Amino acid sequence: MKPAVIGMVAILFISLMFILYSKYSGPDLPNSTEHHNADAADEQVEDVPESYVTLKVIMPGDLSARMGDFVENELNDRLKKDLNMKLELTYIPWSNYQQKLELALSTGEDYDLFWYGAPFVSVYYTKGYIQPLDELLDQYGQDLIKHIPDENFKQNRIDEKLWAIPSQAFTSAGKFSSVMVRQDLLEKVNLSEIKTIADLELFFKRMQAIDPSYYGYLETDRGHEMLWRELTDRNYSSLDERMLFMVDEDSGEMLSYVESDVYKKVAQLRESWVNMGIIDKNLVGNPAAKIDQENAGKLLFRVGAVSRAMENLQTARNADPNARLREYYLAKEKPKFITTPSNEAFMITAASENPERAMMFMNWILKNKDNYNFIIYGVEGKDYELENGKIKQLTNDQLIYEWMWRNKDYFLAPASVEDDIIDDMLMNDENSRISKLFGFHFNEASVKNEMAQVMAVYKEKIEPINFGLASYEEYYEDAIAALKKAGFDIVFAELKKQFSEFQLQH
Amino acid sequence: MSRFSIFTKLIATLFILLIPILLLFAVSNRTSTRVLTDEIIKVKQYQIETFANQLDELFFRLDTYKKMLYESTDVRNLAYPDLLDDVLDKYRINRTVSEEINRLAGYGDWKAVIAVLYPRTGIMIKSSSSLNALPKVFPAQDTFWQYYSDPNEDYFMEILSYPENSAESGEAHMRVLLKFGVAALRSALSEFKANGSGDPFLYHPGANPIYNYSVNVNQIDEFLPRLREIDSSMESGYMLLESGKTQFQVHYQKLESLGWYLVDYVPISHIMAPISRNQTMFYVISGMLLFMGAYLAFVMYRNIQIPFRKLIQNMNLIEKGIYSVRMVDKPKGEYRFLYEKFNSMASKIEKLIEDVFKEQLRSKDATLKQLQSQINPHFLYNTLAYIKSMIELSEDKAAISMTMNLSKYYRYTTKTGNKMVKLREELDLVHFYLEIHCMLRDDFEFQIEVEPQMADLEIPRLIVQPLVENVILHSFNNHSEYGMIRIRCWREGFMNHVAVEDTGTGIDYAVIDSIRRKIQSSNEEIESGLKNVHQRLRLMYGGDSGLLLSQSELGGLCVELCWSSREDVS
Repeated sequence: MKPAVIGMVAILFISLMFILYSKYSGPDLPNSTEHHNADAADEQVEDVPESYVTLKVIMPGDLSARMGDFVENELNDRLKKDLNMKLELTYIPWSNYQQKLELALSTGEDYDLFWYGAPFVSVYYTKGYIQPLDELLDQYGQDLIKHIPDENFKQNRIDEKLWAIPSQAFTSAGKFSSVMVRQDLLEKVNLSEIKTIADLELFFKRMQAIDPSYYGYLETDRGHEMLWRELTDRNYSSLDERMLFMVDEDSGEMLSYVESDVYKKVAQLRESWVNMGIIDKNLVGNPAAKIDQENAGKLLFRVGAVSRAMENLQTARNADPNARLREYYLAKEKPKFITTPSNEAFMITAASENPERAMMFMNWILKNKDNYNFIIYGVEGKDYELENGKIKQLTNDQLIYEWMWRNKDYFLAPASVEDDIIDDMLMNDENSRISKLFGFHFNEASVKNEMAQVMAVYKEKIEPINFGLASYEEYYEDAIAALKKAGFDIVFAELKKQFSEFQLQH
Repeated sequence: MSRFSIFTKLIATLFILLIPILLLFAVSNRTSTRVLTDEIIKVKQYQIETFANQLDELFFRLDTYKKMLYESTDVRNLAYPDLLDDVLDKYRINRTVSEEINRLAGYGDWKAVIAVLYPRTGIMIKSSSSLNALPKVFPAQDTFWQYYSDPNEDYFMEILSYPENSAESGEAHMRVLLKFGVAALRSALSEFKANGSGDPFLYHPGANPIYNYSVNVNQIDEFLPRLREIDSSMESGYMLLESGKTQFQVHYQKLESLGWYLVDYVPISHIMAPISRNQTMFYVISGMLLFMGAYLAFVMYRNIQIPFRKLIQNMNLIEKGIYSVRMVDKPKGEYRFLYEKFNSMASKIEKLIEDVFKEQLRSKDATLKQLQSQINPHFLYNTLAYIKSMIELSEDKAAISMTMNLSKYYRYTTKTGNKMVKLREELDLVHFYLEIHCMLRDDFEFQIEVEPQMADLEIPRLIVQPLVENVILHSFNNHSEYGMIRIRCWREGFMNHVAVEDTGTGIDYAVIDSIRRKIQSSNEEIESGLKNVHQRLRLMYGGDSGLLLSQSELGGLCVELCWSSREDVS
């Protein structure tokens, strides 16, 4: 009798305990299934921060469908495990990236991290949009230091402080001074390579004869430096993409580009291209339409950017499966200059609530090959495959742009890109020199009113001349007078002053 | 005894205690569940209504952009490039329109592609330069947020043509179009999901639903057939759907701008899970309590009620005089002790009753025998003959003595009122008896020794006389020599001894042993004077009393009465 009673009581007690226990442990079960796809991050576990934060990052372009999916379902799971954070990406379309970005920065919206071109580091530093990164880098960015050359960091140092992470660490000499052509079409019209401006014009003419729907040249805002290589004997580098000032790499002298002789040559050449039809005057004011032409496979050449032949190949092939791209430097024997070893700069906003996490996130990207491939190419087998050490993407949707974080230690060539293009890229920095501009930042604070006026006039009066729409002969006098009236000389004087100070220091 | 057993009462009490609690709990539980459900419905409806309004607002705002562009002079002027022969003017208007479109497209968090199309020149100005930003072919008709499926990305698009109503005839000079990709809607849904709890999606009969990025597609697929039942005139509402074992509240709200439904569902049974778990737990515990109670009652019934009832039954039997009943199947614990005590009580009562009864029988038997011996004609004849001859011989003294002895003997033996007599009186009787026989036979003498403290000891009547009679009858009958009878009474500790010895014919051990066995056998059929004496002593004084047989030092048999004088023994 007695063991039976004890047994009954024990069973009842145990079942009671079980019910109570399951009540408190039951609903939490799903938690355990959350972290299943982080496979190669064991060593990162030790420094996972305690608080869970959302890192807000501004990215250029459009969110691809796969990226939305990837961030939500895979990337954030991984980031939660490794860094106990999630990523919230805000995409701003390319066409008004600068405008919207600066609006967000100036209103102090709570973004943490954003990308932009290296020239903007000094601009945003001046405006107080960004914060210094030295301490954060020391503390959380050891892998960034390891995989990005010291030189690259130097260009983002202002007032002895680091203001941006030069995310790309790759060859960069002569960026935006090459021309990228449709190699397949070039060969189709019996030309093998581009050596001169005349070659480009010939290429256009021969293609027009075959199919008039092709059009010549895309960029009207950039592309001056590309032409300088042939149009002048000197070695010039542009201060920035606003094409107002340039430096003579041999003499180290700061010059006013718009007043120079080479400017006149460029303007006249552009005018002749408008007349020839290489530049389509109907499309000049409509940037989206120009890119449409490229997307449609109708563009013959545009400004190169060291790796653009690789980057744009997929787009070109979407329109024409036989498309091949190649970049050429005019006047090949002239040296190339490294002004900005990395044009890509990641900056942490002054208003950021989680600057440490922003730095940890960047460090995480370059921490190992797994992370790097994961955030750029996605999930192996699902988004990409490796073929003989080359990458083959299974989806056209972009994740984090590869060029943003391109790194010599982790670089994977796309399987579809020919080896000669890869070789061009990897050997691009041969015959290169460090530019006189390297590390120089023009602090516009003291002349910002003048600068604003100059840019307004520049847009209204100089740009039509740049594009070749307005005749240099006819409009230049009026344009340069308006520019000077707006305070061009004051800006130029300030620039020269700062540049000579910079030269004295270095 | 009452009509209900303890078991029934206990169970009834348990039920009476538990049932009101259960009822109360069930009622309160139902109330709280209903309140909570209502609250969830309200909150969820408010949530999706707000979100639907946001989406509507977005689409109406985009529609406003469309109208702004439609009204803009610059935008219209570009439709007639012939009127603008100045290249620079054209560039500037182009740039202005392009900037305007980009500016409009840039407002807000959710991006639409805005474009102005000039069918005559084939020129299009648009806010996005991405591949597949716009479809390759546009519908001929003007539309208002029409849904289109596309391998790249499904989208909503609206188109407005200028001049009005020109689209049908294909003569539009200018068309403003806005495209909103579902990816942006999916992002919006994901964002909404991140802030809320559900799994929102957009639904329109006949089109693929637009999901958020972390959607549970399988779940929604189950709902889709049921969603077709939504009445298209309904603006909003909710329905309850079952899926697997889970119950869902599926809420829907129509988007005025798109005509699609924003649908969100709440796994109501998951939300209610803690409550229903509590409820189940409560019922389980109640069930356990009831079971435990029933079990305890059963244990009590089995361990107390049943043994108790048996005890009462046996008590009744005892009362009716059936003393042979005993408790069997003894339980463990206190009841075992009680049973044992009952059994010993019953057996003691039985024994006592038996003893008394038997003693009465024996004593009657002894009396009977004694009476028989009294009226023994030989004895009477012999004594009377003796008296006559003595008188004839003028031996007056002897005749008187015999007469006196006879008279005292008869007086004593006929005094039957008392069962117990003093040892002295019994020995007096023996004395008279032996005197009589002495006179008659004149071949033996006798001697009585009594320790003084024993003289007043109470003993059963006629307990010594049979022994003496035995000696007279058996020892001296076939004996020619002069005999001797010695009676000794003494005490050792608590034991009293009365020994009757004679000088009669020697007796060997085997005979003594056979007599001893005869005496001690419980066989009722064997009758003898010695056995009678033995049994009476045992009945009166307990187990250690009785008759001892041995060889006497006088040469004959020694028969010894032993009994304990302790009061409690009897």
